[in-house]
Amino acid sequence: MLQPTKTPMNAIAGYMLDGAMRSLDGFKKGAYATVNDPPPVTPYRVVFESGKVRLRHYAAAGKHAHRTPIVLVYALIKRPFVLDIQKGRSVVEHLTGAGFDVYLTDWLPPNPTDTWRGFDAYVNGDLDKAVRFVRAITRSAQVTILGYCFGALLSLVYTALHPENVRNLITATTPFDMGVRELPIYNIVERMTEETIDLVTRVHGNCPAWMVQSFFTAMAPAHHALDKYVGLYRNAERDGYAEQFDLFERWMSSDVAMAGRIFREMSGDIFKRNQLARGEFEVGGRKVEVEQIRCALLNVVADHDDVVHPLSSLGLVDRVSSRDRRNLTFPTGHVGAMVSGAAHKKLWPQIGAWLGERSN
Amino acid sequence: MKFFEQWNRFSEAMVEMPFVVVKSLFAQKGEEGRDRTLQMDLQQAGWKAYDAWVQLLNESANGLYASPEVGNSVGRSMEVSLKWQRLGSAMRDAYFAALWPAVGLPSGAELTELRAEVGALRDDLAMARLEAEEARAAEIEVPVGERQVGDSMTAMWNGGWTPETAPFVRKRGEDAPAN
Repeated sequence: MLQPTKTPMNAIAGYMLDGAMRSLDGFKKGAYATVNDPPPVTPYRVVFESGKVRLRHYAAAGKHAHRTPIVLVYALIKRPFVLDIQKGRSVVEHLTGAGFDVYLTDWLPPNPTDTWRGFDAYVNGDLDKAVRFVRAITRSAQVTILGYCFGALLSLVYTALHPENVRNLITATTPFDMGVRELPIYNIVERMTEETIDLVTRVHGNCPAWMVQSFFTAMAPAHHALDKYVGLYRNAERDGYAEQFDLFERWMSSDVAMAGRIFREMSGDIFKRNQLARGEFEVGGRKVEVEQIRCALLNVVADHDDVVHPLSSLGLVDRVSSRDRRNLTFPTGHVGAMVSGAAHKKLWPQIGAWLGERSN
Repeated sequence: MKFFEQWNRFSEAMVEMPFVVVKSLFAQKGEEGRDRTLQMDLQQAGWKAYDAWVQLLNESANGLYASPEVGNSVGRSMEVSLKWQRLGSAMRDAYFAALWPAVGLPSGAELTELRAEVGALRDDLAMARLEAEEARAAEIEVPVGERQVGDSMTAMWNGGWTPETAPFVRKRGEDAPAN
């Protein structure tokens, strides 16, 4: 990383050059590779690997206070180190510190033989095996599932299809009702024809990582092209800012390809036709009915979310059959819910307390 | 609507800038504290204008995305570009399909098949491990007496069963019991 110089233009240009090099580095590694993960904040052990999931175990720190283990379900489209990014800003550290055993799904990037993988393979295959493994090694009849973003969607589908295995469900920034078209970028995806979606997978097999990244970049082009570097210049003197920026950028460039079939299901069935919210979405020949969810549900919604609009998530609690259910809204953005200092001071203690009451 | 709000903010910031510049030009030189304050005012006005400009850019992009014409043309251009890519990759595959066997290297399809086979073997292994863990968990949950029966039944079935309680069976390091 370049050091700030006295000329703003020079410094900003230097940061932009760094960013361009980082993007090129990611591109050089190819469509199926990802950037290297930074060293973990919380130590872990890989305890199980099957299909496209590698299950990491983070042991409860100090006193092992809660019996129900947590299965943290991360999204398929970026690397999971954002959940354990920095001391004091780590979701994993927070949960293990509160006495929970945490098992994190580290999804492996799909290769050209994985184009057939859809929700069925990921949810009824990999995630179900991971949950079964956690139940077996912890001798727990049920687990807590905590999903973030796309991971929350996988968690939701899993809990609806296998309600007997889940004691508590926490969904954070869940794309549930995709009929909500408040975010402008959604209009572009809306205009993509079925043929275009199909062509992506016919040409590339899986949806390439650069395509996933382009979607995120297009959401705030001015920010990604210039403003974030200007922000770095303006905050260069703030303690720890440059380090946080570097880690965050690394995560932003850590896009992972999406398996062909799940890309088609996500773009066509869930996004364009809103089948999940309508109760028409089918996985492995079974309808996914969120009404089947009876466990305790905490739905975390970020008020300023610009990736999943809050209105897409809020309606979920009204649809499940759980008696114990609530929305927990917090004034932050999509990623802020996981990494911001404010979220770790105020939001995560609330989530920890909610879980603590329901995990023994 | 948001675009016009941002436009107003940007205009305000752009009007403010010249005032601050003129103020700093007419300020008396020499007083260090005063000079620094004016410099800071100028800097603040500059950043305010910059922030308003970035917001305006974002709103303009959002406005473009919201437009059906832009959405349609992006969708169409993506489709055309993908069709060309498809044609290109079909031609490339046709060329290399003949080349690889000629130089004695496996084709892409053969590698894919091999990868799938390795993947299936890994999955079999994972499944066996999962089932073993589940069986172990189930054993622990069974009451002690029943488990002993279960264990000896399994051992009998799989071979290697030795009836520890039966008489006349010499255990290692022990003499035969006297009859």
